[in-house]
Amino acid sequence: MSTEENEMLGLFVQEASEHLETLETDLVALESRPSDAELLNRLFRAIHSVKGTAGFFGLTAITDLAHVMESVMALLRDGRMHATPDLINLFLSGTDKLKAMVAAPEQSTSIDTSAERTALHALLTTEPPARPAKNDAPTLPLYLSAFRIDPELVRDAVRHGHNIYVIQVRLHADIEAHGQTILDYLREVESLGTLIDTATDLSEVSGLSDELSAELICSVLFTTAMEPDLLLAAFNLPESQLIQTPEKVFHDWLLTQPVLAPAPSVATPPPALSHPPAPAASTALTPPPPATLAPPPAPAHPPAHPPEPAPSGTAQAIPTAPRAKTEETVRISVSLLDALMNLAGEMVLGRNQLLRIAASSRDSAAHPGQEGLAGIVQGISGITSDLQRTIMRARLQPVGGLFGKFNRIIRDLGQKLGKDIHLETVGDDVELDRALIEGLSDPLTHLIRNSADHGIEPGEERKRAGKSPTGHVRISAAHLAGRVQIEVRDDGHGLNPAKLKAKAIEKGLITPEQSARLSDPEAWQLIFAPGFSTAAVVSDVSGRGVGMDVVKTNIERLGGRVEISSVLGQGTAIIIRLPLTLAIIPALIVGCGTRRFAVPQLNLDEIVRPGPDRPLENFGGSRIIRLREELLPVLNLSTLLGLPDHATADNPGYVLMLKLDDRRFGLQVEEINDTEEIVVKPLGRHLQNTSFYSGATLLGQGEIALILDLAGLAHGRLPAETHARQLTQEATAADTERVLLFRDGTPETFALHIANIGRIERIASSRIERIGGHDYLRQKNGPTLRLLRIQDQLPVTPAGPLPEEIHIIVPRLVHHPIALVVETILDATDLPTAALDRTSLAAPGILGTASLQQRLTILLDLYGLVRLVGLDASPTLAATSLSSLRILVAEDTAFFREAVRRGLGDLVGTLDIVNDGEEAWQRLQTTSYDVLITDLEMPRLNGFELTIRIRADARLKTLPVISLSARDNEEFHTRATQAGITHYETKLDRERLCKALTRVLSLAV
Amino acid sequence: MQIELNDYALRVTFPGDLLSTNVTALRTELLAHLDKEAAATTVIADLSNAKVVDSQGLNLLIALLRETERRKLKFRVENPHPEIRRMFTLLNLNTRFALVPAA
Repeated sequence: MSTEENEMLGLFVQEASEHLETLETDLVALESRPSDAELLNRLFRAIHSVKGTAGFFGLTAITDLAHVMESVMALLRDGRMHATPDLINLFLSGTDKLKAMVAAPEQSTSIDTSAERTALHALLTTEPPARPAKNDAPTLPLYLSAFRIDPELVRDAVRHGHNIYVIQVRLHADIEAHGQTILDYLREVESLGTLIDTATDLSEVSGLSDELSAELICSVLFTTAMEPDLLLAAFNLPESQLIQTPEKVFHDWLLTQPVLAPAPSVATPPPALSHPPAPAASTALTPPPPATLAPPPAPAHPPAHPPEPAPSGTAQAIPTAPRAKTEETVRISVSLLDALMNLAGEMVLGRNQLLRIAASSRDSAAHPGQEGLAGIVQGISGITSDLQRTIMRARLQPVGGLFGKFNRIIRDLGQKLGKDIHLETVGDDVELDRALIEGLSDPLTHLIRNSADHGIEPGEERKRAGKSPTGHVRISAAHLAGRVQIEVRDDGHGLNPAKLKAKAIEKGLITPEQSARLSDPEAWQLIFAPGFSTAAVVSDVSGRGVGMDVVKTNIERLGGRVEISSVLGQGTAIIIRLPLTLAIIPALIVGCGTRRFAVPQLNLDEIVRPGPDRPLENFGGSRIIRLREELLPVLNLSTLLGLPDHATADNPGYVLMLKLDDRRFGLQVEEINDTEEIVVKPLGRHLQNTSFYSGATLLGQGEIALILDLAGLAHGRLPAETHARQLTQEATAADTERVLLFRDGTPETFALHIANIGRIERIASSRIERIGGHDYLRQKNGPTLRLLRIQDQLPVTPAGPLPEEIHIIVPRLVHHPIALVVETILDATDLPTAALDRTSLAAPGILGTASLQQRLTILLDLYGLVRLVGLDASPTLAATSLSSLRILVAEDTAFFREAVRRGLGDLVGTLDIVNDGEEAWQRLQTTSYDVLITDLEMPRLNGFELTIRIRADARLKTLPVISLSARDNEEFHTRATQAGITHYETKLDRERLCKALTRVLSLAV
Repeated sequence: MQIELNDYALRVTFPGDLLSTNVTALRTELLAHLDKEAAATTVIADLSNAKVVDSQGLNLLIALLRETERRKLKFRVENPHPEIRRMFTLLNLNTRFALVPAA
């Protein structure tokens, strides 16, 4: 096959595939709208087009099947047969075969279509049942069935009281015999009205063996203001060759047709046939839609004459009559569109550079001859933005094309599973970048299948539950805050947290203890765990339990995220949020030293300038900022990237308040440069493995800036994930703890667990004695108490001189004589455990923050405060109980970090968690711990190597080390023993871990 | 009429317009060549020399289309004059014929 033929065949495959997609979608729709004339016309046209184009290539297997499908479809369209579910099944089966054949035309003859053809032929040879009259929508007379009718043209004619005629013209006898050419004749028809469609009957012509004596007859459907007698005279036609269709027939038919475009206020005469369409007229009718990659899947008003096949792949060169709207869309290859997008991106970069130069020219001394430059540059800037936006729009496609295929899936699944399921699609016209639409196809298919298979109950079960026997699945798309939200919702039995937990325990994903602590939303999340499946019977419908984690990963790869909402007995919704596009994004350009970085503005909430009224505070190595009664963690960009940190107390730079999913955090940067629309360029290979950057861009100055991947930056570096915190809060919502509220001469309100308080005394402050830089209180019947001030241990507002009377709080179970000084006791109250925010202000000496009695309250860790003053080495204190243990955990997986945090957080005194062995080693150099719990397989420094280092260190060599590993094998046990690991435990077994800790504790005592 | 077989494609270049006055002769010649060139898988009707095709000329082209369908050959019309293309379009024949415009 020549290159040219290959190209043509490629074009055929592309077009036929599109027709078949339309066919499939419309066939499913036909089941619920069997009398929809427009739908039937569209189906007929689609199969007709496939048949026609396949015939050009001699693809007889395709032509034969398409032909018989077309014939049966004609019966449906003409109202001589009714679309039953069985017939639609047959058509769908035929469509599948056609799809397979079109996908590989060379092998099309190898596909067996005999079953479909035989069944369809049988329908043609039997008397078709009459269509049920009660469901009949108004249909057009049979003589109009040969035409493709644009409802808009008909609507316009009816609105203006024009007549609608069919004239039958014999090409020789009525035209050429009168000395006219066929083309001139048709031009004349055009000049007297509006041509809607033509149909030329070729049935009289057979092959070359016969004489060429057949008279070709062309039927012309057109509208005109002329009366019949005048028309016959004008066209030299006998009365028998003209049919006038009563206006009412079309009027009724139009009621079934969708109105797609606003009516023009003034009738626009059709331009002459020989002239290209006037743009103004076209615009007046309907605003041209954005260019699309392919024609809409279901054109509502098809062209009277579709463009001829253009084998070269270029647009048709010869202007045709502007009867329909085909001129408003044009087929563009994806590669051309991508090239345009890249060029637009380059232009944006050039524009940015130009703006920069123009700005510097304006700022510097006057440049003779450049007075008007700023205006010109601004003009170019505006045009570039418009150009870029327009091309961006060209990349957008309605999600309806994607949604359309789910009708078939739901229909087939419903039949297969014996469930009656109705799919509703909402927001089909919402547009998304084509790359996103492609990426969404598989995840959404999986979700839809899951809803049908696992979500929707069998009909009998639904009835027993008082529901309609028909299950409903709804897939919707909507724009929401600059993103697109796609939701798959079913009205099935919902996610059962108990079943999910049981399954997770059975699969070994969680322990029963962990399961008991999971809230419902947390249990829902289990479906995203790899290998998780709740289906009692694994079916071939919705996969084998390997899908939902992939769904989540794929969505996240597209820059989106997935959420679940479910009500037991009522249904489940999976919500996906996606960006509109990935190619050009508005960004804030920031600087650290001489480097420039781009921060996507989508994530930026606000910019804060730290100062005396809003200082950056340090707690246990973490920076925080207080913003409108909220304490938020702050990451320092320079530190994260290993750059010199130039921030000082006087010049702290700026803090970008960022939002990432439902987490908020600050990013401290040295400079803020500008906002720019940046073109996202992929990273070079050498940077692709870093989690800090999502891409690169060229700035106006010509500098390269790396685009920060905020999720990567924040990953594992925030005190904890808010989401996890919320889950924890919900899980323990029922618990409360009694706390004492007090102040210490500063604006902050503090709280202490009452259970930890031994006694409270009111004393005269004059009794306090200062010795060696510390405060003491001599007691008559006991040891001298060392007094602590909160302001000396934590960075709170400094208090003034003590009042005459103060309170001291003596902790329980601390053998060392020590007490905390407080000025004012406020109240004792219940602190709901769920209200405690353990993450925003995580530091030694602090358990968390909570809003109590409308005050932001810091819950102090009494024992932690004691340790802060250097009394933490007391063996009595360390061995008192598990609750006084200081534990360092090294774990590189966020999930297990969270598991350990939940498992031990409430049991032990201090739980510091770091991301790997190296970090643990650094931490051990500065902080004292009772136990190290370490993962064995970690980046940078693994658990074996870390332990070997510890055992070689004079100060640390006796530190108990408990290893946690997901592997429970002999090799690891041996290596652990050789490295000097004290206890080897498997991950997620909280009970065993607690026992190991107890053993460590008993050894320490 | 010029007829050449190249790479299994039988290119038929008509000498001029396709009119009632010449279609009968052209039909006979075409039939003979189709019978003779059994190796061809594609037939190309080259209209580069034609400015007018009348109803009988159309008849010839439709008959050739039918003939190629019967013989399971691919068929296309190349280099039609713009006026001929327009006529095909207005008669809705462009959905039946593969029309390849001049490069």
